[in-house]
Amino acid sequence: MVLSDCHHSKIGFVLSLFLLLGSTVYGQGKGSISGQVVEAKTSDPLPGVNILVQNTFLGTTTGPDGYFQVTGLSPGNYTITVSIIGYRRETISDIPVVADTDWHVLVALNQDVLSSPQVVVTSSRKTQDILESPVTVSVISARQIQEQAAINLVDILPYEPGISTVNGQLNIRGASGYTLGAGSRSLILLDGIPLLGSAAGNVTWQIVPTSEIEQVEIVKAGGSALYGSSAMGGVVNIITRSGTYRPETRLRLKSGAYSNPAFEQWNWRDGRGYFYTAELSHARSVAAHNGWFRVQRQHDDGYNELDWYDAVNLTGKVKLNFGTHHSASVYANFLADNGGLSSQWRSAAHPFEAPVGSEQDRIDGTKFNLNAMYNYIYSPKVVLKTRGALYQVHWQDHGSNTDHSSERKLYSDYQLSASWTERLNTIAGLTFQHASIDADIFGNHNSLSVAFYFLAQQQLSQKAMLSLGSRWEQYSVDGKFLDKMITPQFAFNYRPARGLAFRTSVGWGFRVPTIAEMFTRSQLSIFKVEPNPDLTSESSISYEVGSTWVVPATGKILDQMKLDVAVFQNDYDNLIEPTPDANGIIHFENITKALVRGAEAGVVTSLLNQSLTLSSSYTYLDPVALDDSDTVRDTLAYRYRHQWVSTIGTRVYGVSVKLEYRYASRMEQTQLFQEDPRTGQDRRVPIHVWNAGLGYSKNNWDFLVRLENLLQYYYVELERNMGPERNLSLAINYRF
Amino acid sequence: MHNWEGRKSLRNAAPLVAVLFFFATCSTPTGLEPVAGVEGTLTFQGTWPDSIKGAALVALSSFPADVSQAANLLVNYSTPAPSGTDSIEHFIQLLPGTYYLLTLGLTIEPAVFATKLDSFQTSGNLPVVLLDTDLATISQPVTILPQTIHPLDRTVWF
Repeated sequence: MVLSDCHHSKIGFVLSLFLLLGSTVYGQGKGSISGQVVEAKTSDPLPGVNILVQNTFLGTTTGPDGYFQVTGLSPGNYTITVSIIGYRRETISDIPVVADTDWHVLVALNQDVLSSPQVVVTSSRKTQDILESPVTVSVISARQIQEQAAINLVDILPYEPGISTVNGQLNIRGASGYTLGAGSRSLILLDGIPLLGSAAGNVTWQIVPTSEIEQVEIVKAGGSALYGSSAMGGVVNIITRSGTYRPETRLRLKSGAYSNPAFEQWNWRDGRGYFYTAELSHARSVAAHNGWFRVQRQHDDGYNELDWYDAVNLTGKVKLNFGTHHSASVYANFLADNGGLSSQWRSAAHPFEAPVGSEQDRIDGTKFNLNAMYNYIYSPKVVLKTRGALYQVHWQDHGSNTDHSSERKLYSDYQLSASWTERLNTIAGLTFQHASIDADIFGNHNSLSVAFYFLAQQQLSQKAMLSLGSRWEQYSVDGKFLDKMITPQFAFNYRPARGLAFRTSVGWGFRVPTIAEMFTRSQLSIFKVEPNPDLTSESSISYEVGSTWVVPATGKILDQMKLDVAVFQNDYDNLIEPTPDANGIIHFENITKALVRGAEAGVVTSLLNQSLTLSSSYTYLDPVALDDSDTVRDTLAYRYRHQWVSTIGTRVYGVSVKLEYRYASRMEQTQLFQEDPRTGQDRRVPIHVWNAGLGYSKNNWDFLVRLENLLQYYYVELERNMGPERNLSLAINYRF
Repeated sequence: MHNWEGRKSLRNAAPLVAVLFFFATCSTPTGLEPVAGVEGTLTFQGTWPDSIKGAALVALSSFPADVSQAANLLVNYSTPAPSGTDSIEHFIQLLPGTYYLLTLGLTIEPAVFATKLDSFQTSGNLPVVLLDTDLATISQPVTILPQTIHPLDRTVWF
């Protein structure tokens, strides 16, 4: 597409204005759309509803009386989408905006408490319908989180297609395996800002405010074009909710107990282990601004001797709206925690006990996360988003190890989005990230990355869209240049019919080595871990073809059905793996050339006026390590070849019943300890986990009883670490 | 209206009951279960010789004439104790059967021993020396029963 000189001069003018952060400039001859959003059954006004004007960056939310107004629209026909969690999204097309005139609409939303969210923001760094996404995106809604009474988000992620975890380390489509907690091949974002620690490059799941999540978007296709290092194995974007327009206070309690082991030989404590989480949150608005604050106290005796955990977590978010064109938000989270520290069980004979001599091992620390965002909508076609973040981590080991670490990461991102025509949108941005680490185990180091990214999305027709993007990034450690990468991405989306979409993409990815991988000096059982400062970046190419089909209601039985299929291939080079040398000394080394191929298929359906919901998904992976001649050398460690997840739930008269099943085939390869058929040592088994929930909701109260791992099935994900024991919990949620 | 609601709820519950019945009739898969083996404490008295870098309890399938030639008899061994250790808990996982349990000194670093064990077993030679002095005791086989841990403490005098 050739841009006119007029466009060039306009953009130059816009950029200079951004530097001054001037006030909005709207000429005369603009029109507006206003209206009211009400609840369809009761006609009550709905506050906090998101209004988006398609093909522009303009949008707003409804006020306490359900009213909204979007101004500054050039004359023409517009389409708006009206959405809020818990209601079916409505789209109103062909709204004729005339100069100096306000067009009024009345929108009635129907409740749709069970459907999954249909709007995503992560795959293209902008709001778009999930069917328009150029790559596969899986979405976890706030209701799904509530139905599983999850305290830690990572506990429910393995119930999503293609996702597995090993000892808390996330694995999307087999990208990560397990890297001793050092380095993640999946990028975790909180409201679009990276949440990975600066030393080990891992995520502290406890810092995620699970109960304040609006939705979680999981971009499964690997590629670093938009988000850089670690996104080579996919992106998880945790989107927190905004404050409510009506003051709302929530009290949440979850408490429960672990079963004693099914085998007498494994009993290790008198009585049972208990856990509880108590939360109090308050949300409200003041004038056009809104926010929420939450305090959480958590205690867990743990299901094994060193799995105990205590934490206090304070979290808050304020969203400031300065008219239609300026908005800002500030999010802060402080976590102080203390917990047992174990790398493996005492022995296979005592799988729930701590190794002798490490019974008192524990780690305590604090984590502080401050995110700030500012959006400036210069015009309906141009918007600037700036993001800044500070992430500080302190931890101290006690017991047989006395390591400590202090880490600080500063992040900033400047993103300019422009809608050049109704069919061409571009996004360009600059990102800076600086980290400094002072630790016994890693030494004193700092790192700096600078990146520029670009994405263009061209509507080829009403049904087809082409996305082209790329990222250039340079990375240095301790002031010395380490690596620079260019990672393009190409994607094509085709929607031949309403509710049916096909997508295909290819994306290049990379991951820079973490400080932990380069500089760790430690002792792991009888093995020493020594530094390797010569590590270079991992790289990948990811290919994907997929389709989503949303089947509308047919007759009286089927309400809606969503089918999703995808096949994918990820080629990896220079993978960093912990490798023992001939002297038994472990270094992280760039060694593995790998290929992960696979397919996933999933179906979600609701039946009988949403009183019955069913979901099922299957993922197949073929993860292999290759030699230099591309011959298969081995199966990659810590991947499951087959995964199957199914849920069935019913909701009648406020009573809900849900049954979940998760299967993962026997892990074929591990790294630390190999299975020995002569002794039965380090035996690995498939995973069969059943969970059941019984809930009841009435007025402002929600009750949920959950039984997790109800068949008390025993397995290991990471060698010599027993999977979670059966536990029974009661969660109570009260809003007032 | 009331009857219709009742029929509706029954109809809604029917698929759930069917699925529950299906699940209930499935055989329950077997996960990890209690293991068998030998467990106890290795105690070391006196000063470790410079030539011994570590020590481990080993399970052999038959009693060897020479421990350094016993690589092919080695079934399993405990996590090696590094030189200078006073005492260490040991555990050797074994399948039910009869084994000979010996305390061996490693003449190379324990990590190197663990890393190169496959090549030692291929060559038939182990870089070890016998630390037990009570031959009458160690020449008696120990029988391991299913899902049973056999207690065994040993003391080595340097």
